[in-house]
Amino acid sequence: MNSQTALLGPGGITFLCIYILSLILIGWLGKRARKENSLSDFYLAGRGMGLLVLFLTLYATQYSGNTLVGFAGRAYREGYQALVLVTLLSSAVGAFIVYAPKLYRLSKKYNFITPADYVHFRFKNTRLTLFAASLCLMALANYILTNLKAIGYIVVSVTGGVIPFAYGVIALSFVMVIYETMGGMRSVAWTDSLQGIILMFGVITIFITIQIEYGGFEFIYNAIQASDPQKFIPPNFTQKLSWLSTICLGFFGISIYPHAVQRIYSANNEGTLKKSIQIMAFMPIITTLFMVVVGLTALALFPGLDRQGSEGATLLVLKDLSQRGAIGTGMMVLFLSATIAAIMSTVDSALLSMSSIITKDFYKRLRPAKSQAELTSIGKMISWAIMAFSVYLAIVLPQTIWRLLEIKLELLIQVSPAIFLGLYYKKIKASSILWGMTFGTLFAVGTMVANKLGVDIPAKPWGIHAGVWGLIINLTIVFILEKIKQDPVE
Amino acid sequence: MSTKKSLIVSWIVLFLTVPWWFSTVSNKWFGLPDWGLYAMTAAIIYSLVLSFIIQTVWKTPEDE
Repeated sequence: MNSQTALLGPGGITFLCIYILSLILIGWLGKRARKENSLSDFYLAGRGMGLLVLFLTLYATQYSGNTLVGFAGRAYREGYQALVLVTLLSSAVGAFIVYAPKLYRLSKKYNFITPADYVHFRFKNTRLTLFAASLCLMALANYILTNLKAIGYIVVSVTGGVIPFAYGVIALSFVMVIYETMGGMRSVAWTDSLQGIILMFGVITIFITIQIEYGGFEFIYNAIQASDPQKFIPPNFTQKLSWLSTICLGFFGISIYPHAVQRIYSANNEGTLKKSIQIMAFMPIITTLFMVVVGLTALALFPGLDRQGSEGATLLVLKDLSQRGAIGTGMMVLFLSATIAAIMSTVDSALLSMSSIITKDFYKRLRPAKSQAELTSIGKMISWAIMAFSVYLAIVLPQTIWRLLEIKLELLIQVSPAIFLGLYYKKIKASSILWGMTFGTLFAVGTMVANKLGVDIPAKPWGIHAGVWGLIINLTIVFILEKIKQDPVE
Repeated sequence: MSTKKSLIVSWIVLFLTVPWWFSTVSNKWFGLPDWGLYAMTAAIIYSLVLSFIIQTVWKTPEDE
């Protein structure tokens, strides 16, 4: 996306700048609403989030820039098989039903701040706690880096290269870290609310416009039949396994993203949490499905693009709509605002989560005597340090390393047995979970790294993701060790 | 329905969202290939099932 033609004129860019700067004002309001100088207030908004804010922050956090840009690109390349992405996001909500009610009640009772707080409460094993926290950190770091890179490209596209990639990344990161350190979760959740509204409105508007202007599924079907009829072939058995494996990644991986778990902790009561998750069950339909349709529309309109070209599928459709006079500059500004909002809301949440994990799970263990106020100050400094380092890496990291940053859910999914089994099986032991997590992670990371470094090992043996194979190994080891260690008297 | 049964039902529905039954080149249904329509409809049904389970099985202190 190095186009030198600016997507927006001076008016549109000014609107975007005002919107981005308004986030700092919201951050300041979040700071003013602070009730106490504690970790719980800073990282969980004092566990007082109401329905609207909780739902919108869950929504804005779960749907990143990848939803708006990457999902449409994938639909362009894979055709109707990209419909798996709808179930991928739904399955995460399905997993919330399994663990959220129990975990919420425990978090309220024992004041959990991070996911690893639960792991430590349940298993009382420092090595396991730190290992789980480290996996969460690595997944979040990769998440932040890939999203920062995306935001840099969008700034270049929006301004036609007038603002270079590096300056774009630095400026938007600076805004994010300012409002995040001012009011913590409260500021992040409030900015997420605004970003969530823009995101939802942008996606729905573009979907409806496409239906009116081109004619919806019928138009897509006829155009693809003429240009690329291979897309109608149903998935073969290996692709079906891959479909199921993708769903598993959503169920066991996306659902336990630390920033999602922390939003569960932040609800002001269980009824609020229940209603928020209930609404979230429908969001894949009006967000992911709509973006898949945008990608299919791009395939119908502009067949024959390569992989890089397909990543710009959404923008191509928008430009075409603009040329037809179906949308004005306002719509373009709205969609680009939605894309930037989606990325920022994900990065700020991941940043806050990383800061909380380093402060609570690592630093507090080394300095247990530190007060809540001191820990909060350290957490803010950690946020600045993480962001500075992430910005540096986003600008200088070579392309070969970027491929390794795709490893996110493969890591996180290995933590899921500690949470799911820990909540439901009282007798399960820390050592079983720790060994399972270790071998599952080694297999998943080993396979992925080898594949990305060019070794002849598939990233998805028999269609199943390396992370899911790792989880199968993880669970098998847990099961075997539990059988071996079972006390016959018991 | 108990929590356990509800969860099992939701996992079965989730498993069935994969278009397992389709193997030959498809017919058009409502502007979609039949397996695409199946996948989309199954995803919508799964969302409805989740919402129903949350509403009926998840009992909170606020419900009482």
